[in-house]
Amino acid sequence: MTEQIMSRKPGAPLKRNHLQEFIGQMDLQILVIPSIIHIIIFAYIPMYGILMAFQEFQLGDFPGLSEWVGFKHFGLLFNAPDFTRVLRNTVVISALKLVINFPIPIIFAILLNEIQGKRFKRSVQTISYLPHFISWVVGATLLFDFFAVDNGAVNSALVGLGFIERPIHFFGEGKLFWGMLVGTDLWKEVGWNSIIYIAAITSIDAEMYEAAEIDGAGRFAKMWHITVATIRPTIVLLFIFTVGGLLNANFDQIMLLTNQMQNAQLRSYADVIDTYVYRVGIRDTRFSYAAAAGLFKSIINFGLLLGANKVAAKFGEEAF
Amino acid sequence: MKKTRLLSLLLAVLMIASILASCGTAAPAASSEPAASSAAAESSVAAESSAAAEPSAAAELEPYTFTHYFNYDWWGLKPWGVDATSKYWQEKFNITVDFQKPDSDAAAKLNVMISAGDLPDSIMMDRGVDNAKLAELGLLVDLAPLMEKNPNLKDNVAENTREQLKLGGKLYAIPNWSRIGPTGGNDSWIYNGRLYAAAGSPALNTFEDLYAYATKIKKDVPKNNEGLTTYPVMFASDGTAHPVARSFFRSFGGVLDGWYSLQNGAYKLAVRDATFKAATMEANKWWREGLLSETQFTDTGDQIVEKLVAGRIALAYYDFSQNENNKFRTILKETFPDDTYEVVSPYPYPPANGLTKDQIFADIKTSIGWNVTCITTSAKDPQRIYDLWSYLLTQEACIEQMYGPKGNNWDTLDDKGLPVLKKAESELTSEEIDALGAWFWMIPGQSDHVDMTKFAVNAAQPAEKQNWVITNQANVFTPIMFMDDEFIGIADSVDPKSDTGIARALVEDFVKAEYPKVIMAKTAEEAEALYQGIIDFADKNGMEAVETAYTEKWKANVAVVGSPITDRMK
Repeated sequence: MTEQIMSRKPGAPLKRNHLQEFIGQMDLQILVIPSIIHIIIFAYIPMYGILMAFQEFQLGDFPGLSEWVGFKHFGLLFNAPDFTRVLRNTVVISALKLVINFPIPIIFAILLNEIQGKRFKRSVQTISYLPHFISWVVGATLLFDFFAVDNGAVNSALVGLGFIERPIHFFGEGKLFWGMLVGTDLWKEVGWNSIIYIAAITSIDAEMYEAAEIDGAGRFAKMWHITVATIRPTIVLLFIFTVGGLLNANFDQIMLLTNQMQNAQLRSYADVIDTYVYRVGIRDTRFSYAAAAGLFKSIINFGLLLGANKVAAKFGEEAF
Repeated sequence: MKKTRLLSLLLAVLMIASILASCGTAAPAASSEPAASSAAAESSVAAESSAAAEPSAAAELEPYTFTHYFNYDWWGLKPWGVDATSKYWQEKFNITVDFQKPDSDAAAKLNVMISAGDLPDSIMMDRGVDNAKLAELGLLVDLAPLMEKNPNLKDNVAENTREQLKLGGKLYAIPNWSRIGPTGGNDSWIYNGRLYAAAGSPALNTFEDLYAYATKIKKDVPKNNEGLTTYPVMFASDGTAHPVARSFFRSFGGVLDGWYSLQNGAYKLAVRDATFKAATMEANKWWREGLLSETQFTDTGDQIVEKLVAGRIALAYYDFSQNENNKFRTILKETFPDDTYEVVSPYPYPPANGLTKDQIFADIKTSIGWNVTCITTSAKDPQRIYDLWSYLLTQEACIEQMYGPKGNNWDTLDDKGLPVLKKAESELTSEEIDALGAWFWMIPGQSDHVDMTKFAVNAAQPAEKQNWVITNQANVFTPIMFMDDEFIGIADSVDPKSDTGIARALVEDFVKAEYPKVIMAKTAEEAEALYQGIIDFADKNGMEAVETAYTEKWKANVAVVGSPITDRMK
């Protein structure tokens, strides 16, 4: 004991301080425990279901105790005639959402910050994030009505203004579907996704702007060199998260906008990995095959997450 | 400071407690049941286990509670013993049923229940792979010994139907909606009254007449009285073009079973059928001429109903019996008293290309009905469960199912054994129907009893109180219906996880996605090319193996039923 105390470097904490600290913060530790239990139950325990992807699961088997078949399902997956199309849709939809729907909330937040009238700013903010609270079930119904061929608001307006002669069948043309997906996702989430940026911008010290003004910075220079520069860590962090979930091409949205994939005209553009897993796994009860497809997606997502983190590190920001 | 720390500690403990509580099993749903009866149920369980050799004899009048599971997430539940009908049966059998169903994802939930050995006492589910799996795992109770003691199942379900229901030589299933004779009616061509009058009430005897009528609507009646655009022809919405395919093919003299048809003694994809191709090309022609709506294949069922009730669809191929559920015709008539939808007459499926009405196949009914109720090995007293469910197949129960037990809306039966109603069905309010429990407890129902009784009771009403759907089913559709079991269980003959099953799923998906494109093709050549594309895809992806397996199963079925339907043309 004495030796220990003698041997420790000056300023270094006592070893038993860790324990003491832990006990001392017992009330705080207990607060964390429910979340840890939650994560273990809902995120870690289900992971063992991954085993199913390497087995031939039959109804009545206990999950994880079926016959082993190695990489059979992955072989089937990569050779399935549907697979190329499903992968293409997943990648294109995700990429479009990343390229278009990731930067727009940032731009929106910065522009909103430039608005002087406080009341106007508040209203814009509230109106823009309201659609977030509409579930896709309701949202899809609303959108079907807005974009209906038969007296839909959008078609009536476009025809009335003379832009088009015949109403466009927005949800009946496969080629328009990617645009509809990106557009409706933007409508629903732009306000909500900008909240974090707005919060980050709010914390910028006003003195920095004043100092920049004295140095002769104009409005755009201030936006770029102060606002954007200050919220850069936030942007990078959210970028990493977004990339990590890139292949989650929003199952709810696609299922509902295609009438649970019943809309045959959209399927060749709408079928993504998630809907494919659902279709094949649940309907055809090929659980193992669906698990393999899901695992394939998770691995790509995981790779993308690490990749994004690497890239971010190069720019001096890193999540972990 | 100390106080807040104590508070937060308390809060944390509370949070953990609530998480643990929510992880525990939910309280049994039998809380609605009176305490006395549950106590009695427990004692009966004890009594049964002591007399395990002959449980039903000892427990004949003891109260008994069992769980019944509907393997459908959309099933609507009602508590047992609250409405007049189930209360009557509760007392009659001294049985309480605890109903359950999956909240979502029935397939996964069933799988978990099987894996965990936590099955309900009785289960209602589709015939097919999952049901066969339960039987194979030895989880279902063989009904043969139960049937010895109680002949209800034997008396109300034909022997060949019971044979067809057998799995591995044993009967496990009480069929729902089994039948001996063909009755009822669903799909039909119907027309809108005002638009038909506006087009000059042309004859609708043949398929060519339908085409001429639709063309006339397109040209001469573009708007209805309210100024809304009219739709010359619309079909029920099922997300695929199947209603289009089956209505056209039917008028061309074909029989469509799913996406398959009979071709020279083989059961094959319908697209290989020359008649089917001709029907499809005709549908494409209608489309190109603007007779079909652009939104036909994207509209939801609700959107079609919306157009129907607004009186905008001149000619519809629709399940007219839906008026009992979505009230498309009733609402239309309430909004516009001079408007109506009527079944196309003289024949609801006008024949094309010079065929006669005797060469057109109306709907096919199977003796086996829809789904099945099975008793599982978890049941403590299978006989009591069997006694209740098989009772529901009898004529006596059928009257109770439809009109409530005696002493409510009827007191006496007439000489034909039909209830003399105090109040016509059409005059009952939804609260009254609910309190009676009428039309709810067909779990299972027997089609012959239900249809014949409802037809007779309806016919006994004065004309203005008669039900439009029932009258049409009785007078127009029942006489032309077919009874046929040759297509039963064909899809189940291929395991979805086998290579053949995978090929089938792939090709069927392709057909469903491509077929609407054939109909929507801008030129006849494009339609031909897309149509050929479906056949090529099927050939390339191993559909032949599926067709071979299906043909084999179909031939086995034909051996049981006697002759294929195409040989039984009137």
